[in-house]
Amino acid sequence: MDWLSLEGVNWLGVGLAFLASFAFGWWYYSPAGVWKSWQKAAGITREQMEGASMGVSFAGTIIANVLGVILLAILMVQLGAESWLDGLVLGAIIGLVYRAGAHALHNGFAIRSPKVTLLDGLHDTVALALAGVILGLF
Amino acid sequence: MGWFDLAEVEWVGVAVATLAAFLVGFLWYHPRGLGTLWSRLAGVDLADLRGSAASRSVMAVAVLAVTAVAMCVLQAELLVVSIVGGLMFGAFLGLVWRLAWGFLHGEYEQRPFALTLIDGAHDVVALAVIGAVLGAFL
Repeated sequence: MDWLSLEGVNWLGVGLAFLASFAFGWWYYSPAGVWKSWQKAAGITREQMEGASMGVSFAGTIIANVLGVILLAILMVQLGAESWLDGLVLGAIIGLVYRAGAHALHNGFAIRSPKVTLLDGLHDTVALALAGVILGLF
Repeated sequence: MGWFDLAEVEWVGVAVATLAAFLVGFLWYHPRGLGTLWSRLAGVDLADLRGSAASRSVMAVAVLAVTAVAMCVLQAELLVVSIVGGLMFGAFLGLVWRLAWGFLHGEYEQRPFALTLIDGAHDVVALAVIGAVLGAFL
């Protein structure tokens, strides 16, 4: 577990990368982004969303994002991926393999709409690539 | 981007890791495993999946193979070259980018918590197995 070290991690970069990926998600799933397409594809009604505990969803989003950005930062330091381009490529690879791949696998077997896989996979890939770019700048 | 080198990929290890992870999924989602509970939570009739088992299995193998290639590149570069080291590496990545991020999407898509847990825990185990196999080959 030598690779699991916080040494060299720039916490200002982590903070800004988290904020950027969180803000991207906020916009992406808003009516100005893909909200309507996603809502229709996922089969989620407005009533269901209003009845859901947004506090739990929000807290989960923040925790998952923070953990994801910290782990990305650790890997970038340990790999010597120091430029914004390195961050962009690593974040995009992580997003495509670990996130879009997971959506394809689980949504495929659960017979969910391929559009949900596409929209969610794209979100995760861009969010991690964006976080990688910012981490690379720091 | 010296950290991204496909020449470091141990292709036999990738093939064995892919098959091992597929076997994990087969057992995990088998009706005698968690398949019956999973199908109830996901609202999927297992009989509906049987008709398209081949195409879904090909998709799963493709996703697992790409995951194994990416993990091999990372493990070779980070010198995660032991079975235990690979197991921990895969499990850690699975916990953050599969389980935690799975909760993120599961919450918004209002899936049952137990369903997200079954899928996320499967991914943690599958990635741990991939990491362990690759650790043995590297």
